[in-house]
Amino acid sequence: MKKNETLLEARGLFKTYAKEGQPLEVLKGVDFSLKVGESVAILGPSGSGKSTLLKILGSLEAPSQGEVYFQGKSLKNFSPETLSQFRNLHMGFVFQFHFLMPMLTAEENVSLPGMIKGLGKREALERARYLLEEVGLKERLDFYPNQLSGGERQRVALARAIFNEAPMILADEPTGNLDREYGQQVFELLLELKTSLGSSLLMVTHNWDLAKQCERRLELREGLLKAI
Amino acid sequence: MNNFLAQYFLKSFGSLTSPWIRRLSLGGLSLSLALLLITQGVFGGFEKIFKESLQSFNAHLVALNYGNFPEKNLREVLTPEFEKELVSLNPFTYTESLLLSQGKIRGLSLKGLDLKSLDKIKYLKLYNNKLIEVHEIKDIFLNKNSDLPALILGKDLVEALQLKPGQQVKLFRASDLASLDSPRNFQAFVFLGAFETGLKDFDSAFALVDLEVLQSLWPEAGLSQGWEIRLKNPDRALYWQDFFQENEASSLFHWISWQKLNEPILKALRYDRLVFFFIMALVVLVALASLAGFLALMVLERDQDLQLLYFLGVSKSKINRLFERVAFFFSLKALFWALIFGLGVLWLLRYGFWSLSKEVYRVDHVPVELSWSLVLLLVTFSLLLSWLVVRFSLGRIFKKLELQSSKNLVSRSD
Repeated sequence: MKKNETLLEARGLFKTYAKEGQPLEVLKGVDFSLKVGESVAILGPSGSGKSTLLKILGSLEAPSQGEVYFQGKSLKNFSPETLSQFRNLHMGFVFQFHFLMPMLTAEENVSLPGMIKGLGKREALERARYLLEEVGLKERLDFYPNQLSGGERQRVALARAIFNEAPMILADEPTGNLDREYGQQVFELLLELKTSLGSSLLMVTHNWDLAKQCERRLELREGLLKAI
Repeated sequence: MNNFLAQYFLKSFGSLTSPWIRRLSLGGLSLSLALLLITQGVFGGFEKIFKESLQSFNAHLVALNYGNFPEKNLREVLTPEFEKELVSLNPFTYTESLLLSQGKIRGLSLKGLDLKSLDKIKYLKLYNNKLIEVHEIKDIFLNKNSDLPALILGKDLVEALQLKPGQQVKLFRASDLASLDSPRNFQAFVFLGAFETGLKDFDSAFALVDLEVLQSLWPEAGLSQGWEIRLKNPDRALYWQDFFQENEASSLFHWISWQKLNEPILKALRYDRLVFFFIMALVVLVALASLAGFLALMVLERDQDLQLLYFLGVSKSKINRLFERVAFFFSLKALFWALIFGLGVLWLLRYGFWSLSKEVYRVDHVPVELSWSLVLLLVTFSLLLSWLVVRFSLGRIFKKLELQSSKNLVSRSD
């Protein structure tokens, strides 16, 4: 796809949860679009539904109403198997906490999306080593998560997110668990990787300094998304 | 991917709670499978010993001669195919008598055997002053240093009467041809040696004598009551029984196989074995239920890893299948240890690690009979049972598990 073409689009998203027997409307008709190569930050107060929106856009959860389109195709009619395959190939996730598998080494953790895709273990590990080298962890290949610092773990998570060269990276407070200086370094690395792959970035954050570095900023308030 | 991750979950199972959970689960399943193997092996051993004892003293097939026909008539009905399987054909007769020795009296079944064909009988253990082979029995009968007719007796009876070879015993048999107190009813025999079948019924109440001698002493016992037939393959006796029963030409005789003759006890043995199989299978099932519980614990313990896999593109059904694989590896591991332990115990039992009272069990150690086909059958059964239990339980667990709406991974900023 060419730059500036729409990669992801959401139309009229509603999401309602039942809370103590009462319906709780989190999203009230959200429209959203993300272009190829674009970086967008979604801000909003706690409990505003940012993560719910991220999960819906990331095909992890279905909306109560409305549709999500990826490269013009609606995700609504995808079977659970197809949707999983879609996530594996087209989405890269980065979380606030690294969420690495504790009993796998750094290279094994990074290789997971490849092995899920169907690559052989050796091939997947080879690429994982290359990516870890790219994020500056050449010396930490066979380290377990508990032997790595917080920043190093997040770098491993970044390498994992880009393993399959996904066209879209979804990040939920990617530096929320790091100090300011290291957080900035990790975020710069994220932007660099995104740019080198030509991927789009959708980030949910409280951090205005990080949001400022994205091309577009949106705020989710009272279930609706507004540009800021 | 599946094997790699299955190994990962198998390796990490219990690491967050206690590795003892995994060991206990593995130990429980291994032990139950080993017990299943051991009980089947031991039951098979006792069954084999019992069958061998029956086959050694009893004929494999008996043709009863109600019409007092000569052997020529019997030979005429035997087919060439049957002749190929034939080992020996022995006329016999039974008669009841009383044995009198040193003031003691015992009831006795007197069995007349044709000495000419005795050397074809393989299995019977015989004792003189030493253990003697069956083919030697003829020589013992023929080379006795006495003009008296000879007999050999069951080992238990010999021990009860404390008889020594060469000693004289008297037999009383009421004859239709003489009054009760006639001397004709009493006959002295020289005792030559003892036989042992391992079966109390035979060893304590049977005597073997030369058929010709028996017929000359008590002609009213008849020409012969029938023929004892031994076959190359005793298990085929039932087939031949049915074959001759249905054949009109052979209807002069009544045919009974050793299986038919001992049907109740053989049925009881099979039933015993089956009951124990089900009891042990239930024990395995209980162990598998605990494995299912531990799997549920593993799923909860690794909840976060599973959500991550889901996010990375592994569907819920694939995660379910992944855990089925984990359980399969686990069962294989348990089966491996069960085979090591079970076969080890059976080996120790076979080589006399646990001695038994020979008087009671007929053997001095626990007998073991285990074929590779039975081991393969038990392995297949165990894996199938394990697969069914695991599939059922994981299906229930994953039906309840909500991976997509988990709060763990993405909602801390919300």
